[in-house]
Amino acid sequence: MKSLTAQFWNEYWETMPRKELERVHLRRIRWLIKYAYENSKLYHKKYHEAGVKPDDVRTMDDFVKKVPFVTKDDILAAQAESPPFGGALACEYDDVLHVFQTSGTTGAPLRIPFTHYDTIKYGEDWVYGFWAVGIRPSDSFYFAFGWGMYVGFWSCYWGVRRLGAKVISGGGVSTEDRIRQMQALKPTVLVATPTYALYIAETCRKMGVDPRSLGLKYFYGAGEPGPTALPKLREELESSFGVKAYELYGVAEVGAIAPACPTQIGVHLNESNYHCLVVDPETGELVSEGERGENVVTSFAQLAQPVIKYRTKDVVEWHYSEPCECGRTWVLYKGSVLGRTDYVVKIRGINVYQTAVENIVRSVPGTSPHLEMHIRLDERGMDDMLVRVEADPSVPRDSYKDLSERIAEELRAAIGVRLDVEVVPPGTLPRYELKAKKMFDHRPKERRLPSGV
Amino acid sequence: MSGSTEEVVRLVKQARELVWKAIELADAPGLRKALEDADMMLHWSLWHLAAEEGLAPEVERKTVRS
Repeated sequence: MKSLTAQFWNEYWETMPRKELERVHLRRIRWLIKYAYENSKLYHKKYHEAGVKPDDVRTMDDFVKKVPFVTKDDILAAQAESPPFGGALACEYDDVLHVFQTSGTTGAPLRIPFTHYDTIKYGEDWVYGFWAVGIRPSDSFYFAFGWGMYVGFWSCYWGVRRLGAKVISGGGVSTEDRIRQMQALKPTVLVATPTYALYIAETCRKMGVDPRSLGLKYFYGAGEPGPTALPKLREELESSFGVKAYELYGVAEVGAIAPACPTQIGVHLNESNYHCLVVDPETGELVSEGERGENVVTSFAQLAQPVIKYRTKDVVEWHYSEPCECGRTWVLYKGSVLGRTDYVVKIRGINVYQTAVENIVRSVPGTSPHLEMHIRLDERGMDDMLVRVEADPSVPRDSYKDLSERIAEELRAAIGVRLDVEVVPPGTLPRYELKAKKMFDHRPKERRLPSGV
Repeated sequence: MSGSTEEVVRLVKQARELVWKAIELADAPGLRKALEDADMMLHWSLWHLAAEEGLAPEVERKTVRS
């Protein structure tokens, strides 16, 4: 079948010249703004206050300059006015077919409604990445996922259905039972958060099972910085399971916005469903190509609760003028997500990113993949960071001090600042099935960086 | 857009018009839902070719009906 050997899931879109992409984006943005203005009280009010009417947005420059940003707090406030969705909803309540919510670890949970069509589009976001890295309908996916109210791998499931591949649902069983299910059913793709996948490998070894014997060919993760953002993590995943490891960059309330690039240098914004701007998080001004800033995303795929010029708080480095080595013309986020605007710490004038710290720590021999970063104030009231990392089981306890010194020195050499490092015994830090909590901000609220207007 | 792509677009739009007529005639909820899903997939195929005329299939259906 000719289509199975195709390089792209949809060559027409994935290789569309930039000018043509901009033309289609503008058309979709104009529809979307009109739709949101007419159907969502949140957007009607927001645009009314900004003095913008849908017909005022005629060019991309109008969109960039006239249309206000929307934040998670805006949506939360609209939902709180009239729960469950309030003025954030832009469709009939009966047309909402799926409801999810965020964990609410940093505040009230954000409710995320979808129409049936929204889920089709959201699911297909994943397929672009599957296809690009060589996954085909003949593959079978194992979901190490508890199917709760977190949208993450639900959307992946919708994607696997779009692809037409086999679904094996791990469901809410123990890690040991999941390993036994994989031994019995021999899936070819493991879907999990990256740190949970490492925990599966660790548990395999405890059970006397070589993770490579599971017969997996691919790891495809999401939910936290993964094998694209963290090369050492990629090495660990690939060598543990004998797989190629990829990630998708998603924002729960927006979509599975950026599927994997087969080169593993980054991920690509799915420009058939999304548009992005990358801005300085403090000023809101656009940053140049190749620079880092906050990702501001507009979804053409979310009509139940529209997201237009949405401040994601994710720090990315964007490239878009030249096609990628993989052939796509879509925006490349080099290194995927580099950090969160609310967790970027300025220490002695240097921006310290979560993924940079994690990459350096993981590269030091004797460290395990399990670490935490604690942002705090030093004795002078300046931002500071403590890194806690588990030692590899092979490291004797009397070497922990030397190891922490080595890590601190590597961090100083690479980033230019000295951070406190504490090495702790294996098994000290918690393990997570979903997103691993690695960042802890102990600063008073008013000292945290601005993270969205 | 190549000639063959334009032909695909033309055929899909034609198919949608037929499906819309069938939706108007469908009494059984199961049949009606199946046809609406078919229309959604046809809209999706136009989306794949950047040839759709609105963000949601029901918008065009409502426009035609009114």
